[in-house]
Amino acid sequence: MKRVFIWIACLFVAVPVLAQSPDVVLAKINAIKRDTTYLYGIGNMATEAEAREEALLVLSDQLTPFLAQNKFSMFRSMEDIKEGTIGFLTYSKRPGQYRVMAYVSKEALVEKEKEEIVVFEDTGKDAVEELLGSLIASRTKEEVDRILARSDMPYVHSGQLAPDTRQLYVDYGYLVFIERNSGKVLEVMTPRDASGKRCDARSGAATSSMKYKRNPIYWVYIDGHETIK
Amino acid sequence: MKRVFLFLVLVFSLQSVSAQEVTFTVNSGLSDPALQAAIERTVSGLLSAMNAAYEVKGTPDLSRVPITEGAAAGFRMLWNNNPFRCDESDIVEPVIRTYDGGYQVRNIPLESLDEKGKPVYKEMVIDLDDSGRITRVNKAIEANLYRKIMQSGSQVTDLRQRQIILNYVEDFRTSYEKKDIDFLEMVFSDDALIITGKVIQRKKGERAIQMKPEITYTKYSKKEYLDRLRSHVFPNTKSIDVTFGTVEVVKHPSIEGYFGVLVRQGYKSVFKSGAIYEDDGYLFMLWDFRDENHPQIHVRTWQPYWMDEARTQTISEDQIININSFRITR
Repeated sequence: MKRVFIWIACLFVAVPVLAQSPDVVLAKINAIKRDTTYLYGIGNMATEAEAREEALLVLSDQLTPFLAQNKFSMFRSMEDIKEGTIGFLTYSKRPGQYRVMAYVSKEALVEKEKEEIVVFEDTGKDAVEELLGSLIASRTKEEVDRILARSDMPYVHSGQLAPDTRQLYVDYGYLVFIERNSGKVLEVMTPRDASGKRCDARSGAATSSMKYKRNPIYWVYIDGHETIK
Repeated sequence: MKRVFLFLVLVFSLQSVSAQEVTFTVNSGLSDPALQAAIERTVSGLLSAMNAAYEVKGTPDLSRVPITEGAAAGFRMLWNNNPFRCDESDIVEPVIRTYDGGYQVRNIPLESLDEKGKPVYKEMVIDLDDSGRITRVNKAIEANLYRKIMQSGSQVTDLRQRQIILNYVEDFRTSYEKKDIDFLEMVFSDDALIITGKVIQRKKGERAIQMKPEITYTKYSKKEYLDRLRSHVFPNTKSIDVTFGTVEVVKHPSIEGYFGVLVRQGYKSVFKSGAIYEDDGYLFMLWDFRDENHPQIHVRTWQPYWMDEARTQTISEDQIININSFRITR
């Protein structure tokens, strides 16, 4: 009898939890829609990639007047907004039907704008060079993470390489290759030069990113890196 | 033990009952709290009535929903074509001001079943007046197409004009699903030119050399076309499903008030016999919006998208009929 009770109780808890997983996402989407501190765009399309693209276009329509109205100096269009600032939620209940929400917090933009302005005045070329030096000398993933987690570097943008990483970051950014299992830094590469070639940042020897295809890659893009080098 | 079981059964059944209820919330677009509350009540009421009827395979009870007679009739026609439900219990959407001073709610998710019982996703658009009463219910053009048209300022600069055109394009599309012959009668001008294309594959000579597929066209008058719909197509059809894949609106280069609307249309009808007819093609309409309250279609053409049965060749761009294909004499 006790077993039957436990079984029913488990079923009672598990069924709604399993059944609600898309509903949990939907509830989050609706909460953001209700919250006036967010700007959002929604795309309903047959594939997730199309829905994401549409959601970003709709979000851009919302952002453009907001940015103009608030006279942001760092963010003039959606292109200026760091990818990490935009959140995504994907709801898919039916096959071939994806709803993607792209959203951004208005408050976060205002905060970042303040942050950027203050730090911009305090941080100079020396600090960026110092960061670059530590990055090139880094040996482990933990070290790299710690260096990139510094929030006082307005010139430095970084992230893990993903298919949608903007070309600018990949082509004109430093690349840090990490060994998947050990977390060891395999190589730090300089941004592409005018002929499209990269160098090992430590030895200065010509190199290619093709040999590290299966390992996690961090990109580190430094605004105006050519003048810093 | 028995009590516990009964309690569990009750809880489960309450869950399914409550799932039919839909709460609609307006998140922007209105500054009048009383109107906002009225619109929220009305839309929630319509969607909940729809879901309750869907559950029991009945007809929605609209007696408590503020809705005009015309909108209720249109909604029932849509329902009779193929019933649908809103499978989300919490809808949050903005309200848009319409060109005629009314209000519009878009992106209401709808689910219906096709002839094989497979769920089909569509969206609904609801128009309301300033008392929060429903004045029109339609299946909506997909949100991405709507956005594109509303932003295509290079062709049709006036936002108001674009909204009017899209509303009529939505009405036109839904009129086939509603089998609304009165709307089609009203919207086609008396001298409307209706052309339907068909692919023919000619073979030449003894060895039957296959020649390039060609399109032959059949011309209908308004009367011939509507008679065919009235006496043959609509009575023998159980359900019709019309989808628009692309929508392009082009203003006539010289004549004010004339617009060409080109859509890639998917059409599927399930006959009462169980047979299915499907086609995929370009639908072109030449709309005359000089009288915004009574726009007219002067030309309606349909051309197949695929030029062969194997669906390997598509109609070439230069063959697609557009606004420049007709000389308009006034």
